[in-house]
This record gives sequence, structure tokens and C-alpha cells, in this order.
Amino acid sequence: MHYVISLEHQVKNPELAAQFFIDTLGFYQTGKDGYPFFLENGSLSVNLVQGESHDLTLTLQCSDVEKDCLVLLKDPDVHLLQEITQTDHRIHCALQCNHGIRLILNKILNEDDLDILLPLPSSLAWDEKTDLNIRRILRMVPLGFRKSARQRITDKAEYDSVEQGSLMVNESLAMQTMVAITPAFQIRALMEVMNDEGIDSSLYIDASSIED
Amino acid sequence: MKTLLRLIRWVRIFVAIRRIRKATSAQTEKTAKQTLSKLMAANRGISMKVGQVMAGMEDSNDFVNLTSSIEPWPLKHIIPLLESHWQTSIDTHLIHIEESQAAASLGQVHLAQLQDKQYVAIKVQYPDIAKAMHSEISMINLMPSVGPVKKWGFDLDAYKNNLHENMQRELNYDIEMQHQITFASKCQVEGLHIPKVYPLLSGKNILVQERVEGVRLQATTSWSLMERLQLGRTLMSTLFQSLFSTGLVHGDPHPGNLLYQRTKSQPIVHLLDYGCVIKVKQERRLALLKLILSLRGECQQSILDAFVALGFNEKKLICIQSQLSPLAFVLFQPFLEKKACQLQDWHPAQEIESVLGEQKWWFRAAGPADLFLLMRAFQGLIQQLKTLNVQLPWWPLLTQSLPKEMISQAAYLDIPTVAHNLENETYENVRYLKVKIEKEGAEKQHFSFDAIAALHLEILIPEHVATELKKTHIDIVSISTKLRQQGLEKKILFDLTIKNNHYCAWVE
Repeated sequence: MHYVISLEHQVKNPELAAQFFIDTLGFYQTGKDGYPFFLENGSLSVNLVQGESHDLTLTLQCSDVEKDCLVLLKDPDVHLLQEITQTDHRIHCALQCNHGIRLILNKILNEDDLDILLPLPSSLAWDEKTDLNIRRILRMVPLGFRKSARQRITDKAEYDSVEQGSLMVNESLAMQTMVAITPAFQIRALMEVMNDEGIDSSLYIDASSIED
Repeated sequence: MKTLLRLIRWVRIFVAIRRIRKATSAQTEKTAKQTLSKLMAANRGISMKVGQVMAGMEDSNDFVNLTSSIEPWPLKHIIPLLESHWQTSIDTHLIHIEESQAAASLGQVHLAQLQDKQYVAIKVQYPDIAKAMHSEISMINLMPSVGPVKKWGFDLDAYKNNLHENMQRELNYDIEMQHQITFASKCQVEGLHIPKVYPLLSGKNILVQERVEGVRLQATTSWSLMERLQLGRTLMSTLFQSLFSTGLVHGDPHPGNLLYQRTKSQPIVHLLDYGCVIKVKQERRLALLKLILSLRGECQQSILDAFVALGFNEKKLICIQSQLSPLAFVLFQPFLEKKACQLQDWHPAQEIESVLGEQKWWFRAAGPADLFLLMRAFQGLIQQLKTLNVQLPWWPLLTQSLPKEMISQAAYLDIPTVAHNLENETYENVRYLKVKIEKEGAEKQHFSFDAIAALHLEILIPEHVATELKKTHIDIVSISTKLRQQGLEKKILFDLTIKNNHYCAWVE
């Protein structure tokens, strides 16, 4: 089942509230007949109707809570309700606006924000140092692709390891696999990261064959 | 009188099974299982074997009692059996012998020490068990063809014969000893140990073998990852080598038959009890390997022909021909993955259900009777790997278990094309053959097969229905013959009511 869902929010002055949504939150008016205050921003639709004002809490997923908070606070109708707070997995703050609207600015922290190295989804035993090196090297992979890269290197290194008769993934095999799964345009970067980690990249990458 | 008592026990066992099936709460089910476990143990013989099968390969369920805690016979009853076999006092051969700690289905084991100081395990068959087994086998022969067996046309006689032959083999420890010796000489797997046997002290009812130390599978769950991986590799390599290379598979992998031992170098798997060994001929082994190779895209092979070469009934398979390919991918998935196989994510039963639905029974009925034992060997391996909580890639371990030339031998194997293989023929206007049988208004059976199945109605229509139809001059063999001559098109093949029963078949 898939539905397009819109939110109905009751306010005393829909016109002013619509202006706030447009000016401050980047919504636009869809202008549908019979729904003068039907607004959307691509991910949320809001229908503002006149009536007794109610409270509405909107959570805004931000990439930089502090920056976005400062921008929003420039609007005289927006006030800080709760300071920026960091917990184990997120950073957030709360703002109070007119028209009964409360904004939560939120950022879920990723592995880079938290400065942690996620474990490999391994099935075999891995040489401890190799495991750590691979997790460090994987940081060069853009975040959006890292999970899949982590899975690919683990699967391939383990398969190849068993194929070679070992139940333990060693450094040599793990680095060969890392080179094998890395796209050609990233090989130079990989070589640098390997060297930074104290791994002799020349054992696995022929520098002369790298295209500029 | 004894036969009557055993019959009564069997009846009580069936009642207990019914209770388990109908249990509405977990507690009732548990109680019923415990009752059943006790009844089966009390009966020994076949019922206990059945119980061991029901125990499956898990080392922690209500049927596990069957493999570990049945009251054994006291030593005083066993010594005369040994002395009679050895024709001398037991002191001639033994320094000492212990009371048995656990009974098995056909006999019990006593730990002892030989005069040359070797520690041994002596398996002694219950003196009355062979006779009891014969009467139980006779009872099994009376088993009626009902339920799915009748509905889907299982070859019950083949299953009975298979059971009979296996029981005969299991009753003869000479055969078991030979299997054990052959297995030890042919199955060379790192980490596998097969206890040495003492042929001169063994015989038809007594088997003397090296005593081994070890724990059961459940106890290994706390061992290190590397140790568990090594055990997993040994178990997988043992099954792969014995099936594909040796053609001699241990068919009784219940938890009581495997012991695990920690050593300084690597953990050891002791594989015990060679009473049930499945022999697989080379052409079947190669056909199985070729089927896997073709699913991996490493050679070309008709799936239907490969299944037929494995012993499946050709005519039955043709009826579900279009589903064979997705089915094969489900069945052999662990061999196809290029990564460690995550068994917890592999649910063949559900996937087979989604591919075949009710026709899973048709597929099973098409399989050879001995397939059950082979499936059990694989089921055992999967349960062991799950208990060990290890994931390993299957294909590299399979290839390492085979002689180098075997892969190419299989890839170039010429599997005969079955006479009715119509894989390349297509019928644009028809897809299904539907058969509906209603009894007094209620829909009793509703089958849906590939349209091609209409060319083989004689194997699809239950015999009693065919007889009923014949009385009204509808001959299903001639219908099929006519379709073969004229080709398939959308039509009703027959539609009639006989004594409130409605029979209908059509192609659509």
C-alpha cells in the first residue's frame, strides 16, 4: 500500500501561517482550487485551515543543526526552546514559532560524526590488525557507498580465503581484495590511504599502471 | 503376545502424535512430545529409530532423550552374549567392562579395556531385537496408502522396501563394520576421525571399536570461533567428500552419532555408527554435480534431465517442468553463493512452498525413495552448522573435497535426454492443466499443473478416480493420446458427476 499523506493544521490566521511556511521553511503553495492554503515542499504536504490554533511539532532532519538553527533564529517569530544537545546517536535542538508550530532540528550521527569504525560483517576469523586496517581504509569510501563496500570486501575476502584453504583472512588477501573491489579512479587514493596506514601498497598496486 | 503388545504401543504412539498435531498450547505440545518420546524409547526398535528422526538434528529438544537417557540392560545380561560370541570368558579379552550408560535403538554400548590396554566401546545388539524388528516391519507393510501418500501417488512400496533394506543392514553389525572400515579408508578429511574397529572381536551382533572421547554438539557452542569454523569445515567436507567422491554417505547424523574433541592442533569430529550408510552410484553423483555446475552457469544442462538422472520420476516431473528451474535455485542456493552462506537467512521450506505450493508433494512423490536419507544427511549438516553458529562458503569447500578431475568429468557428463522432455516446445495459447475433484459439493482436490501435464493424465489422475471415469467410458489414457496427436488447446477434457462426486479437468 502506498498513500500520499498530507497534514492538516488548524491555525487562527492561515494566511500568515502560510507565509511563515513559505518564507522560513521553504514551502510553496500548490494553488489547488478550494484549498488556498495547501502547501508542500516535496516531502511533506500541509493543509492550513482556519480554526482554534493547535500545536504542531515538525522534525527537520538537518546535516548541520547549529548552522540551520542560526538561520531559523534570524526570523523574529522563531525562538529557541531547547539548546543544541548531543546524545549518543543524535544532535538536536527545539525552536518555538508562531501559529502553534514547534520545530525539532535533528541530526542522526553517522560513523564519521561519531568517529567510530563499524565492524565488518564477517563470518570467518580475521587477523586482528588486518581487520582494523580494512575498517580504517574503508573510511575513504564515501559514506553513501560504505555499507555496501564493507559487505563486498568481507564477502569476497572470506570466499577467496576459503578457496585458498584458510579460515583466517590475512592482510595480504584482504588488501588484494580491497584493490580488486576499488574502482579504477579511486586506486590512487587507496594507495595513499594504504601507505598512511603503514601498509606497503606497492605489494598490491602497481603505481605505474595507474591512470592520471 | 509380544507382537500384540508392540502393536498396542504403536497405537499409543500414533495417539500421542495426534495429540502433538492437535495441541493448542505450547505446554500441551511439550507434554505430548515428552510422552511420545518415552513411548518410543520403551518400544526400542523401529519406533525409537522414528523417534531419532523426529528428534532431528537439534541437540536440545524433547526427543533428545531418545539418544541419551533410555534405561539400558544391566551388564549381567550382556556378559553371556559376549562370552557366547567369543566362545570364551570375557576375561580372555577384557581387563574390565563398564555398565552401559545409554541404550540405543537396536543395542547398547559398553566401555571396556582390552587385554592389550586399548580402550574400546563394545556395541551389543539386543538378543530379541531382530525378531521384534521383523514383526514391526510386517506391521509397516500393512500401512495403508492414505493422505498425501495416496493423493500425490507416492511410491509407498519403494519407501517400504527402502526401510526394510535399511533395517536389515542395521541389524547386521558385520555390514556396519565393513562400512566403517571402507568409510575410514576412503573418506580422508582433515579433522575427521572414524574409530578403528576390531574385526576379530566383532560379529553380526557385536561391534568392538576404538573408544573415543568427546562432547556433544551443544557443548561446542562456547568454543572459539576458529575452533567452530574448523568443526564446520570438517563436517561439510565429510558430507561433500562422502557424497560426491566416495559415494558412501553416513545417513544417520543425529546428535548422538557425533562427538567433538578439543586437541592442541585442531578440534576433531568423531563420526560414529555406520549402521545406516547410503550408497550413491557414480552416475548419480556426477549428475548432481553437473546440475550444480549448470546452476552456477559453468555448463549447460537441462534441469529436468538432471533430476531424472538423480532418480526422479520423469513423467511426474514433466507436469511441473516450468517450476523446476526456480526450484533448483532454491534447493542448491548454498552452492551458488559467492560468499559465506548465511543459513539463518535461507528458508528452503518456505521458498519451495512459494514456488510449488501444494505441488511440493508432487515433487517429493517424484523423488526416489532413498532421497529421504540423503536429504536427512544435508538436514543434519545444516542443523550442525546452525548450532555451531558458523557460516562458510559451500562451493570452495565442495571443490576442495573432490578429486581435481571430477569437476570436468561432471561438466562433460552426457546426461541422457528424457523421451518426454518438451522444454523447447511452447504452447502459446495454453498454460495450465486444472483438475478439480469435488465430493458431495465440497471441493476435495484442486490441482494446477503445467499444461503439458495433460499429455500424461494417466499419472496425474488418482487410480480410484480413473476407475470411476472408466465406468462412464471416459478413458484418460486415450484423452492424453489424442492430445498428443492433435496438440494442446484450451478445452474441457472431461466434466461429469458420478454419485454426487464431480470430476472435471480442463486446459486453459
